[in-house]
Amino acid sequence: MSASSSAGNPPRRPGWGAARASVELANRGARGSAEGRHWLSGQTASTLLEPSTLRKLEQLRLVGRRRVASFARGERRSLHRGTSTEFLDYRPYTPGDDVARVDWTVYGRLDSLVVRLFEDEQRASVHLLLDNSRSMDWGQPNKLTLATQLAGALGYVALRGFDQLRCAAFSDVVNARFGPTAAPHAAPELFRFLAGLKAVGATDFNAALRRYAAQHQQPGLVLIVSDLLSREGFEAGLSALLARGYEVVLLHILAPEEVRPAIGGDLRLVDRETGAGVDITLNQRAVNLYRERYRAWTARVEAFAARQGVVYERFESSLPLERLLLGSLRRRGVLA
Amino acid sequence: MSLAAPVALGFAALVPAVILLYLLKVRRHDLDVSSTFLWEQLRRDVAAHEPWQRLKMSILLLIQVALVLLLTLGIARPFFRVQAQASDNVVILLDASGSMQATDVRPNRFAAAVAAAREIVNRLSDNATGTVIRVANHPQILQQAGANKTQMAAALDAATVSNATTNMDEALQLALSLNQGQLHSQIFIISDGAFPTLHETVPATVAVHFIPIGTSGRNMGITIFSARQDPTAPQRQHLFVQVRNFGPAAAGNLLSLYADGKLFGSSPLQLPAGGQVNKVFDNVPVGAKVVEAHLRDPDILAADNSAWLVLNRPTSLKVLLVTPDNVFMEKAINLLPDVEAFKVAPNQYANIDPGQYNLFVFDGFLPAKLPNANMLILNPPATNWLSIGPTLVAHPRVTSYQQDDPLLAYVQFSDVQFQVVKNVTAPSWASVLAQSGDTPLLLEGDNEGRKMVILPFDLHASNFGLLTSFPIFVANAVQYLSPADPNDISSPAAGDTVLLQPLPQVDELDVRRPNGAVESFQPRGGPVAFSDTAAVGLYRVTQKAKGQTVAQQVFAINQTSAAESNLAPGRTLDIGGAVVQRNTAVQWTPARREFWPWVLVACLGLLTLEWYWYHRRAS
Repeated sequence: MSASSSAGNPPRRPGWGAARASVELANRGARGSAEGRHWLSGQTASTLLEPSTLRKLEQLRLVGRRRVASFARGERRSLHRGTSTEFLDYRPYTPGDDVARVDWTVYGRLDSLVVRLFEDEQRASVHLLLDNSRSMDWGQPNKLTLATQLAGALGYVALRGFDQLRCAAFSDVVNARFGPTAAPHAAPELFRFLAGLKAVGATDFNAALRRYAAQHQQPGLVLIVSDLLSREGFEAGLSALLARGYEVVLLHILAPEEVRPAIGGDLRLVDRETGAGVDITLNQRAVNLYRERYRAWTARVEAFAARQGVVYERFESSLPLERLLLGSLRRRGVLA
Repeated sequence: MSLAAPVALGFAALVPAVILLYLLKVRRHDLDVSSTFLWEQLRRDVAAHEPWQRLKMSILLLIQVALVLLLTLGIARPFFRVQAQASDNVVILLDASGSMQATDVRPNRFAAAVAAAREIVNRLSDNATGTVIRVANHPQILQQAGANKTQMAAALDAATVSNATTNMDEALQLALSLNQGQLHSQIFIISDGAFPTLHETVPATVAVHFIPIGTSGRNMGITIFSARQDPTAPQRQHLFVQVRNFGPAAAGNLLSLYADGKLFGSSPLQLPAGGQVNKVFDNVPVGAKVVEAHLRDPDILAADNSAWLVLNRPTSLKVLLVTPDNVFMEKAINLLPDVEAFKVAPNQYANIDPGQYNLFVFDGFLPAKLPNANMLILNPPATNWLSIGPTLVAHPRVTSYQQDDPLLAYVQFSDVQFQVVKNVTAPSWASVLAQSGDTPLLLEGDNEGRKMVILPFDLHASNFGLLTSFPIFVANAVQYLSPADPNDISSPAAGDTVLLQPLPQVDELDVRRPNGAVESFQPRGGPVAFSDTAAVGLYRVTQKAKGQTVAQQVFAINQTSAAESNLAPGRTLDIGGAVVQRNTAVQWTPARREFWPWVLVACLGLLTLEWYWYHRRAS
């Protein structure tokens, strides 16, 4: 992409305010795209996320609770925007941006505030880790479906914020990767990647995360979407990430049936991941005992998160995506 | 131990069935879950695909096998062979009279008798039935006839001793009537033998056994305690006390007399074995209400060492005659002894205090507000409680009258002739004692606590006042209408029922027993029957109206029966001329004592243990 060619080429269409994403499309030189047409209007985008959801996401940014003080150029987001002269892109003005970097020409034409971004920008590294073990492909509604949509939405927000995004799907090992990329136009590709994920393997949360931490040298904000149903636990994996300096956001997804199991008589519970069975008489007493154990387990996660400074949010797969994004995650300070 | 139904041991075949259930696996439906991670602690048993599993020794299995074996044993009816009563039907006569309180056997004779009775009941065969009769002044069946062993034992536990005399004759009669038609029944008399010779004839099918209780007869007791007016000075009383030594040796003692708690006389006594002494005390303080005689030295029976006497003085009856003028009535009342007669004209009635009189005679007049007393009413005017027809009945003849009623005793009412009689309708509370056709000529009844006798005619319009029957009728009527003297309670014996006569206005009657316990009654116009007189001593009765005490009375319960004080234990019993030896023909025969109920209790215990163990494992 040529910065010089596009630096003086602010969007010149009357409908910019209505579909701001097209600004990037035009600036990225998405050749042949009709002006005004949404650049995510393909099938991938529509099956993973609704256009209306995407439009709402455009207002949001990923917020890390701490910023990295020491950084390598071009790899992590610094506390200040870059000041090199090589133009990279525009992005909408958000309160707090340096007013000097507002492109007043664009404002004069379109009556809209945009900020110029330059190649020398300190980029934030955002890691999106999605649990796609077989236990995730369960529940009514399906946990993996919501987890994929959530990952897509968070990835979209990261890309929109010009963060450097890496996405990985894991069970006992990392079984699929996407990125790194900092290009907002990579969003459709991300969505295709996510939509193509299949549930595989059994969860070994610790092993997968330890390995991931060892493989990546660019710590940053790591967003983990998992059901944490791992016999080996979760502490070692998270600790490995924390030790490397990652800022961890743990998004814990559970199916309603896992939170409130129904009474069912004499049953053999078959583990989706291992195929092993547990014979149980699922009466009120068993349900009550399960609830006790569930409470103890979630309390353990919460206590660990509180102790280690991990942002932790637990939600059920029945929760609408928009409520999760615009409600819970904003309240948690993950999105702003 | 043997088995009554050994065939039932076949139920032990259920043991393999129980073990088989443990070999079989529960058939379960598969349910796909995301992870069994959170469920693993709740698992019941390990999954396996075969319909059978290896037998694992578990406490539950052992308990259930033991349960089956115990149940099998219970159904087989195990029993022990014991020596038991041959007869299937027994009657136990348990002496609960005053003499059974003697302490020559510890703690007392009655406790020893109950223990002996329990021993008999324990030895009964399991299907035997029996009756326990508590013998005091009246026999009392302690539990329904034909009760089983458990019921009999419970009845024995609840039995109490009294101060009454022994009415063994009546008790034996009752026992024989209960056993009528029974073959081979046995009667056990458990007693110290302190009762007169029995006169019943015992049929040959009934065996009577005497189990004597008591070892010593060392007792001195007051057997007579009475008072008499001094003929020369009616206000003075003479006391007569008889003391007997029932013991086998000569003994001394000190007899003391108390008047209202203050000592006024004493006399040292020296009595030979079986001897008696009579003492008269004429120095009773004038006005004393209660006198007590007391023997100083304790012996094996305390109840006869004290006796009480309530001294009653005759009181006169105040009768108010409300009449314009009635010479016949006036004269007839004045003839009566212990009666103070007063007369007032009807128009002066409002000025008198009705509370001062015990009985009212209204002639041709009735006050608007009736006094709280009994009354004789002559020629009544119509009131709201007595309806009188507008026309008079002329020359009625007596068609019928109740000759045997106490009011008409020795009264020839058929001789009475009438000029006119008021046409009275008998109220619901009244009964008609004499009538002419449908016209009542004499009524009596209880009108809201007031006894009333009504003559619905003017004496001057009949010849009744001229007949010799008239003063007799008035005497009958006054006696009938006299309120019970609150001080007049004859000295009853322990266990007797005492009839307490409340005054008409009394709404609460309290009886304080010798031990201080108070029992309250609500008299409803009639007398109150008080039967809880087992304890010896003074009983104080307080009559109250609207919370105010209106009368107090005292009665004494004494144990002055020579038969009860004679504690020398009898070794034989004379029943209708036949002598029953001590414990003679008690027949013990081998019998089965089944204990399956205990096996059943053990089964219940195991079931409880199984329940506990199952839930303990589940949690």
